[in-house]
Parts: sequence; C-alpha cells; structure tokens
Amino acid sequence: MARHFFADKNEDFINAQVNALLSSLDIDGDVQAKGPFAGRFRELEDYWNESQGAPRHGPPQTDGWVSEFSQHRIEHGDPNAWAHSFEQQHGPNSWASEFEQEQRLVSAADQMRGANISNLAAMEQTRMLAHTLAQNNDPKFQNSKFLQFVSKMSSGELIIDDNQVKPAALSSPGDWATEYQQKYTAGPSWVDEYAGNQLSHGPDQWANEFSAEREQRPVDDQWVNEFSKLHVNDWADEFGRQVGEGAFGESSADNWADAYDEYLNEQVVAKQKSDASRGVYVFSDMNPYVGHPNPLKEGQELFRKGLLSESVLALEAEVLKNPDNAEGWRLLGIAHAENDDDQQAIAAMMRAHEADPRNLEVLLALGVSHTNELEQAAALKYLYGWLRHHPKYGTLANPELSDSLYYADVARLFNEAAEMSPEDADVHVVLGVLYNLSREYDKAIASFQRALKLKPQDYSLWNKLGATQANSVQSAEAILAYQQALDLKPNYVRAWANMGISYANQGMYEDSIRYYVRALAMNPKADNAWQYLRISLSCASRNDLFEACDSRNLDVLQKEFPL
Amino acid sequence: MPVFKAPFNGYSVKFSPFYESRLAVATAQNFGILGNGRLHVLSLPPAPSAPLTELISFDTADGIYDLAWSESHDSLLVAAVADGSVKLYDTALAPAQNPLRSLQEHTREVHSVDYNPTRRDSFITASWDDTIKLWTLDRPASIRTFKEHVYCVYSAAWNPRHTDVFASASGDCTVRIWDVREPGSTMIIPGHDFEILCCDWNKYDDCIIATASVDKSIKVWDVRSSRAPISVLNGHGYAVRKVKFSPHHRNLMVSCSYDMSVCMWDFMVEDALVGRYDHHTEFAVGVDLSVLVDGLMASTGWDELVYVWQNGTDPRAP
Repeated sequence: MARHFFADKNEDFINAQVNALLSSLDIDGDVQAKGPFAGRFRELEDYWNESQGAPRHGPPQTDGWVSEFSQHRIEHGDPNAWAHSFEQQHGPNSWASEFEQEQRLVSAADQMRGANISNLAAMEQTRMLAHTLAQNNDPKFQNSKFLQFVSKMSSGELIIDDNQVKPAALSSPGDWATEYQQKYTAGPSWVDEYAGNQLSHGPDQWANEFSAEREQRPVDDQWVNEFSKLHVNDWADEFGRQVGEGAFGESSADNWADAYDEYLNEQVVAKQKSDASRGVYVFSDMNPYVGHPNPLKEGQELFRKGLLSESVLALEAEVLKNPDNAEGWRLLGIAHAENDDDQQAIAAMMRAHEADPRNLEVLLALGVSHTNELEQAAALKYLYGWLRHHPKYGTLANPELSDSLYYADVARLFNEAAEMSPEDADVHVVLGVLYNLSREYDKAIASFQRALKLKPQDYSLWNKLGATQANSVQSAEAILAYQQALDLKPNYVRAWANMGISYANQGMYEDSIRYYVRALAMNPKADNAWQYLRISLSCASRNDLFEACDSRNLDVLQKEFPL
Repeated sequence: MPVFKAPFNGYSVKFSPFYESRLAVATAQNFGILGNGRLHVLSLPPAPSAPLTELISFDTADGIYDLAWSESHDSLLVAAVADGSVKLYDTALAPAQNPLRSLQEHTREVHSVDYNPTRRDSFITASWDDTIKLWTLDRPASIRTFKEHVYCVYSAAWNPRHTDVFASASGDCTVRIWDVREPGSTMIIPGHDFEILCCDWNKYDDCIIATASVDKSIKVWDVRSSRAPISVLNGHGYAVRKVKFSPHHRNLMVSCSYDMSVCMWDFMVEDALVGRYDHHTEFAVGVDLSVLVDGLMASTGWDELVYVWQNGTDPRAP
C-alpha cells in the first residue's frame, strides 16, 4: 500500500521515533535506580508549565510528537498544547519565520513521516531532531546517516512523494547518495534527466550553461512581477465586467475589491520593503559548512546536483571566508534565484558585481533582475556593461554612451551583435529581455525562440519564453512553455508558480491554486507565490482557506488542493 | 563474529525456535519512514569468522517492523508490516509463491507480532491503531480484537507459562495484561510517565514482566504487586526500544536503545548493568536471545547490520 504524501500514519512514525528520542533527552538520567521518577519530572513539568502555558489533562491523542512532547512537559497534556504555546511565543507565522532562519536543522514537528516538506511543522520537527542529534558529541551520532537523512528532509532536499524518498533534485555525494540512488525508484524522467548524460542538462551542460554568460534567475523575476501586474489588471477588468453583468452579489463584490486593495497595498509595501532591504544579504546562522576546507567546491557540487538549500549554505561559508569571491557570490545569487528568493538573489548578485565588475554573467544577471523590477535605467546600464566587457562585442560599445543610455541605442547595439553572431544564444536572450523591457513582446518571443533553437534544453529559457507569452496574454502557449521547463527541471519553483499565474489568468482559479501550492511546497519562502495564491483563493471563492493561506499552513492547503 | 549487511534499515531480529543456526531479520527502507521492506532469513556459518548467509528473502511494499517465527511449523514466519497488514511467509516456498497470506485488518502500522509459545497455534499483533489482534494460522480473519489502549500499541507479548495471557505496551504509558478468555484487560499497570515501547515476560517466573520506555529506563514488575516496580534499570542514554528476558537465566535480560547500544542486565543485583555492546552506529532497534543456544544473541539496527555473537564476546570481532 503506497504511503500517501499526506497519510496520517506518517505522523505516527515520527511520533514514535522522534518522540521517543527527543523526549528521552529531556529526562534527567541521574535518577536513582529504585523508586518512582515522579519527583524529578515534576520539576521539569513545572518549568515547562510556566513557560508554556496551562497544562491540560487527559490521555494523549494521536498527534504523535506533539502529544509526546506535551505529555513530557505537561502531564498528559493536550496534544496541541505545545503547538499552541509555541504559537503564543512566536506568533502564528512562527513556523515560517523559524524555518527561514534555520534552514537545515531543528525543530520539533509532527510529521516527518509524511515527508511533509510542505508542512512547516514537520520541517521544524525534523530540524529539531537533527539539531538534537547533532549536539551529541559522540562521533557515532555525528556520523549518523539518520541524522543526515533527517537534516536533508528538514531542509527540503529530500521529498517524499508517492511512497518514495526523492532527492529534491539529486542525491548528495558520497556513499549515502549512492545508497539512495539504488533505492530510488523514481520515474524515468527524473532518473534520465539527472543520472544519464543524454540530456544536455547533464553535469557538463549545466556547467557550460553557467559559464556561458547565461543568466536565468533574475529574468524570471521580471516575468513574474510584470505578469503579476497584468494579471491583477486583467482580473480587475474581468471583475468589473462581471459585476456589471450582475454575476456577483453585492457582498462578494466588496470582498473581492477589498482583497484587491489589500493585495495592492501589500505589493506596495513589499516593494518598499524590498527597496529598503535590497542589497543586504542575510546569512543563515548555524551553517555546518563553515570551517569546511573547500566550501566553494562543495557548493558548486551541491548546486550541480540541484540541492539548492544545501549549496546556499556551502556558498555562504565560502563568501564568509572569502568576501571577494565573485564566483561564490554569483552562484549564491543563482541558487537563491532558482529557489525563488529574489531578495537574496539580488543581494548576492550585487556583491558579486562589487567583487568583479567585469564578470559577464553577473552583469547579465543584474540586467535581468533590474528589468524584472522595471528599473529601466539600471537594467540598461548592466546590459550595456555586458556588451562592453564582452570580448567579442566590446567594439560595438561606445564608452561615451554609457553615461546616458537610451533604450533604443542599446537595443540597436544588441541587434548588431546578433547579426554579428547569429549563433550566440546569449545575445538573443539579452535581446529578449530588452524587448520585454519595452513591451515589444512579439519580438521578445521571437528572440527567445531563436535562443531556444540554439539551446533547447535550457529550462530557464523555456520559463522566460513562457513568461513573455504570458505577459502578452498568450497564456495557453505560456503553459506549454512552462511545462517544457518543468520537464527539464521538475523542481523549478518559479516555473510552478508561473504555471499557476497562467492558469489564473485564464480564469482557471482552482487549477492555479494547485500550482501555487505545489510551488510553495517546494519553497515556502516564495513570498510572491503566497500573494498570488491568496488572490486565486479569493477568485475561486475559497475564502474559507484565507486563514490557512495567511498562516502559511501548507498542510491544509495541500490536502485541499493536491496536484 | 558473523555479520550481515542488509540493504535496508534493520528493525527486528528473531532466532528460529527450530534451528540453532537460523534467524530472520525484518527491515524497512529509509529508516522505516516510507518505501519498501524486506524479510531476510539468515543462516549462521559453521565458523564464527564467516559472515551470515542469506537463505531466502521476501520483499514487501512497505517496511516490516517486526517478525515472529511460528512455533508449529519450522518454515513459517509472520511479518508485521507498516501498511497495516500481517503477512505469512513460508521459507520452504519460493518468494514468488509468497506470502501465503496477507491479513489486512489493522488500520495503522503493525508494530509487533508475537507467536504463542505454548499453544503454538495463535499469534497476536500490536498496532498503532491502538488495538491488539489475535490470529491463528488457519483462519483468514482475526479471532479477537482487544481495544482498550488509547494510543499506539508498540508491543504485545505472550506469557510463557499461561497460554491465554499476554501483555501489551502502549504509548499511552500503560501496560495492560489480558486474558483471551476475558472480555477486557485484567490489569493495567501505569508503568512509566512516558511511552512504553516494549514489554517482555520473565521465562522463569510467570508473574514478572519488564517494560522498556522512552524515559530511558527499564522497569521490572511483579504483577501481583504492581504499584511499584521491583527494579528500575537505568543506563541507557536514550529511549529503550526493546527488552527481552533470557530463556536460559532467570535474572538476565537484554535491551537495545536509541543510544545505539545493546545492554545486558541482571535485575536482581544492585549494579544491574552487566554488559554493554556498542557495535551499532545507528539506533539499535532489534535484539534477541536464542532459545536453543545459551548466550547466543543477535541485534540489528538502523545501520543495516545484523550481528550475532556470544554474550561476553565482542560482536565486531572477526
């Protein structure tokens, strides 16, 4: 019987195992060999009662870990006491914030078994388990494969899907990895894609892709952001129409309008926030790679294998060690971008640029992200810089021009470059980006298509194409392009979110919700996706799930909207 | 000492009651979280320096948490599977003809199975669905379901003397004694303040029972005066997963724990810990003592290894 992703039985496994382990930790071992333990534990109970809130009595229920834990703290306590008290201390979004702060390790949680990477609580718990195990200095515990397993699950590198444990992209290096490869019975697409070298997305290609002045991430931002604006506008129109036609009652109209206002406000606030905090990179604490002899290499390897969160940590260790390592910063930016964390991506890219102002890939990346942010001037500056520092096209660029760039000039130059080397996919990509800036979507689509002829396996290119199509209101085609991207890279969070947007744009809100939820399951930190989700929920008249959305309760959402 | 490396994480190991050199191991993939399971039947080599050899193995769609050898047929095994099924295997038949039966009644994972050593015709299974079920080999459905525990039942063990009596250990922190002839449990021992993961009867004194708990201790109880334990055994660093009384020595018992060690105890002496084996590198979750060979013990853990050694020797010695 395949264990389903959300099966309750999964919870109990963890409950049984983790609880047993974790609660035993809190028990004072120095109790005398004869006689009851009651006195000792009462101390602990009192302490916890004070810090956690009123205990409740009754036998524990099947919320496994929680019950175990609360039982431990509070005599036969309410299973949710722990969760409640945690919320009291940290607020309803505590799970999310905790998760953001401490990606790998930590925290208690109910359901590891369900693999609920989606479930922040589960992640928290596995992290706590991992943390606890890691704290044991006994080398046996330090080397424990179970600890590694839990660590990877908590960071989302391993997901459980259809009764299989799958690496988020590929398993990690070493014996542990091969072990999982053997046991790993995933469908052909995954295996072929990553294990075989037939597809150009094998390791070599991937490396080439990155060395070949290609920038994927930040461009995607643009697509998403641009699109989201259109997206909302379309809805506003549609809504206006529907109200006119009397499709909605008075109250629902108000609700929607309110939701829309709220959304706009949030957007504004978010933008302000992002402006303020842009450029400030936030390091993760408790980074196990600090002290690693060669964190850059480790980070590159992890990145190559698709273990984004782990590679981020390794790369952070590298740039902490060598703050001027442009390559480290660059890769860090890309990793964040793929993981749909725009802020960190941009911050990292800026540092990369500081470290090496001539690095073409960095320039392209920055050009793209600024295009996404609709900061035309800045975008042009970086894209022009790309041209200028390019060994081949540097001659085209007139140094005096850089002071006052006009879009038309830059576009013209890039067209010249394209004529110079029609086989250079990068030039076409940049052109595509530029055309998006000027909203000449047909030209942009043409450019991307030309680039795709040269690099058909570039998943991010497919995403760009899709986004451009979506922006030009060709949502059906966009979905096909996104699907191509996802076929090439199944855990491409941004593409999942974009799919959601395209569905929403066609009025298929239920479907869009599923895709947003899937994207968020892979990366709960994708703030923009949460916003889109909320809007889709509103449009699908699922206001009952607002709370789940606001509290970022992926568990509930996944149950309601499985893909 | 003979060692066996399984492809999956070990969960339980049991010696055959018929053959001195035979034992079986229940394993589960991915630490039992999800994935498949496999049941291995192994044979001890004539010389201790040789490894254990596998006679036959059976694959299951879900992890196997426990197994029990039949007392009536030397080739029959019962497996407790994580998908809630109880499967019967015949080692004399090819894997393709197995399992003989798959009994699907429990609604949650089956965590333990124990075969009645005296009646030899029945066995009990303990499940996370809070129930214990009584079965016989010939019937396709359970004979009785015992539902009183309010949380997962982790273990159920037959009394070696009284054919109709068994005990169950549960996450609701109690141990219940049952008599299959009685409608409900005959005794409830609130043994620990934390989940009780295993219980086992003393083979020489039918009123003595040991419980292993998350609180890192093992308590030994006399059911005639169950308000306080006879003895409390401390020494494990983490939750104690299994406990088993020796079939050869009245006071000896063996336990395994999440602290990755296997410990030998004499509960009648003040300094109860008489042996400690640290050979596993992950949680030690299965341990057994051979009924046929005095001092022969086996253990398995999540490090996918199965060790068989004589008490007093080093399990990892070549």
